[in-house]
Amino acid sequence: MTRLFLALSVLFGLAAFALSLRLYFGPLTGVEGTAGPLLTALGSAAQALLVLFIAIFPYSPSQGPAAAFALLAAILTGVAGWFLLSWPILIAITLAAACLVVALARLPSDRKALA
Amino acid sequence: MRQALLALPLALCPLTAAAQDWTTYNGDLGARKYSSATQITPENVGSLVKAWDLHTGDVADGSGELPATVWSATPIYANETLYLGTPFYRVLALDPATGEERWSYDTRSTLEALTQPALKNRGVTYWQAEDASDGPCNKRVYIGTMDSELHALDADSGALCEEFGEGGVVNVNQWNEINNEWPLSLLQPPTAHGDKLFVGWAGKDWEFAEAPPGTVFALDARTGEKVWEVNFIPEEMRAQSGTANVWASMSVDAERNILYLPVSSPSPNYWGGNRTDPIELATSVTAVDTESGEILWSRQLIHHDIWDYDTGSAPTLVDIERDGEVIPALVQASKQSMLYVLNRETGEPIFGMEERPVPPSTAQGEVAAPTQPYYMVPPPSHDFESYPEMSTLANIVSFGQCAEMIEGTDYQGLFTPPSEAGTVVYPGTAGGMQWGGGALDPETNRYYINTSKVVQILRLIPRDDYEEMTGGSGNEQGLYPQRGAPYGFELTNWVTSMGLPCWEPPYGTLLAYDLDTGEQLWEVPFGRSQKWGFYGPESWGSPTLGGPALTATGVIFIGASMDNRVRAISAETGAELWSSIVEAPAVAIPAIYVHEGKQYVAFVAGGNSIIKPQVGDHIAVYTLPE
Repeated sequence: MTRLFLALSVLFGLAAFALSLRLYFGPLTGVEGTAGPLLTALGSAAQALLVLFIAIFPYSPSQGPAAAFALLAAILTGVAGWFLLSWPILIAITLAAACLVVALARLPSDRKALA
Repeated sequence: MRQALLALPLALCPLTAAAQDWTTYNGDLGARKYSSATQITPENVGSLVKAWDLHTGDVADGSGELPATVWSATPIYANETLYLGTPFYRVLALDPATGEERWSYDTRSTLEALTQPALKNRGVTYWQAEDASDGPCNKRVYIGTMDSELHALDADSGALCEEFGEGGVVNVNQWNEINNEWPLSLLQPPTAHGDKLFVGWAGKDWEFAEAPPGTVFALDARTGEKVWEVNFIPEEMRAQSGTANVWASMSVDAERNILYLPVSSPSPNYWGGNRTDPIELATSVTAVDTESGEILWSRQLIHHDIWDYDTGSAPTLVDIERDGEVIPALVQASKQSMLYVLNRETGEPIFGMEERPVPPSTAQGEVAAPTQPYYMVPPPSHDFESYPEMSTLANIVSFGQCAEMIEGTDYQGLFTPPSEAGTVVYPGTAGGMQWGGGALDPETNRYYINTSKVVQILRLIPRDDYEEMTGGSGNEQGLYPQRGAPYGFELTNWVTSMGLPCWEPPYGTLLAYDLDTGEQLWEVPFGRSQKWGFYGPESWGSPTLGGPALTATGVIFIGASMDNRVRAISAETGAELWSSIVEAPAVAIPAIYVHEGKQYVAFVAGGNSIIKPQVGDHIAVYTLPE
């Protein structure tokens, strides 16, 4: 189950990344070519990569910081999505964060399975 | 009664807009920006769909060889065609229902920013002869250029009308004889009435103390010959000053044959030591007989203007009911955010005014006017005693930059003279209410207008110090020389290096007034501010450029905001009913028209770096779904 939630978190993060690129490259998104969607693209990509790292290296000592940074990236991306008036990005990154939290809660018991 | 009164001029003048055409920059000659079309209502406007959109290709962001473009053209719907001018000085004639091109014409004008910081166009003029049934050039489209040329085209084919000027072109600069360091740029389309075109021009503000003196030319619409001209600067002062020109749109009382002119301020704009004798017609509304050019009356809005508060939009004609009497009136919006409601036959204020003492100037050679006229009914959109408080948040995140910028500056109310210490300018030099003007519902005499609430700091810089300074000027910000005056100047928005405004919002609002009573009905924050793509909260609003248009059903259409959106607003409450995203800020007045029985609203999204460094070449036209 942990693997499933981590996978979902990565997928939602990638969805937010794709939505950010769509906003940046437009047309007629209202924010095309601006720094805002680039920041959400960066944040969502970072979130997805960090969660992928957690999934691949469940015993890594960097797992804790990786999880913290992934959540931070998700929160900042969500805030940026809010100020971009991009509800799809906000929803996608919120789901990514929620899946990550669920996975982290289950991680201690499922660590063997992941390994 | 009011409808009957309004119907009379419509019947007398074939060129006043038929109710569901959009024949001038302001919709009609009375600058009402009003359509009697009723298909789009507050109830169904939310279902508007895009009928078509188009990119003209005539756009530049200034990064290449061409200067940036500023496109504020109101589309003209006449002769069952939609006509547009572009900032590359081309004319497009489009099918109003599909956007398909019927013809186009290229003036081949030089694409140099000769007088402006950008290539600008505010559209074209449509004219038709009283008997316009047959014959080439009985219906015409005119476009002006940055380099003073006025081209006359057959409205059906786009061919030049050879009898107009020389081969279809009049060079207005032939009449530019005094201080002619730059050409008279024809950016605002002329006003057509009867068999005449009324031509104002734009110049190069802020560069020189001396400039061409303000004139408006009346040309024969068929031949281009000059019929008369009217001047706004006394003859003995023309060589030492200049401008006080009419660069904005004009309005016409077609029944009375009166042309109403929004006259700008004289040069130099922020120091008047070379023009201390009164220039009574500067910064005024001036009424002129359309046949003779005789000045019938003039109402000066600011004495000895040293704030560049040009009168920047056409006065809107309105018949006001007071004490059972119908008074022919006009309402003049202004950068200084007062609304001047005047009897349009006499120029007398309808709601009264008072002359109030204002502070003296400390600048070398300057003699500021001791009093200024205040028109407080209807209530202005800005406070004249104080500017908005400093934003604590902006000051903290800028590490005190906001406080530092404003420290030591002078502010003693609206008419605080420019000074070496720096003067707070509020409303900012672009307004306040700007060249979009307002929209009037003639059924209710309610008037709707957008306004910007921007704080600027103006600093006079002694000539010797100025010459040692480096830096550039942008679009209404930066360093400007005012050559010939003892001062150059620096104009800056009170904004942090990161682009955060230093004052408390809102930054722009939309207002409704009842012109019969002079009351303000509502004021709401309008649009959203934007930086790096991020939107400010709704309650902050946005600075705006470009005006509203109104339907008989009580729907206000307006672009104007920073956030690349065009909107429908309830005239009753100010609530947003619909919005759509366009390519750039839609800084033009929208056009509302009915073509083949179907109502459309057309927006031009061209951008203007005064509110946001983004340009566009986008026309978006909306209608109700089938």
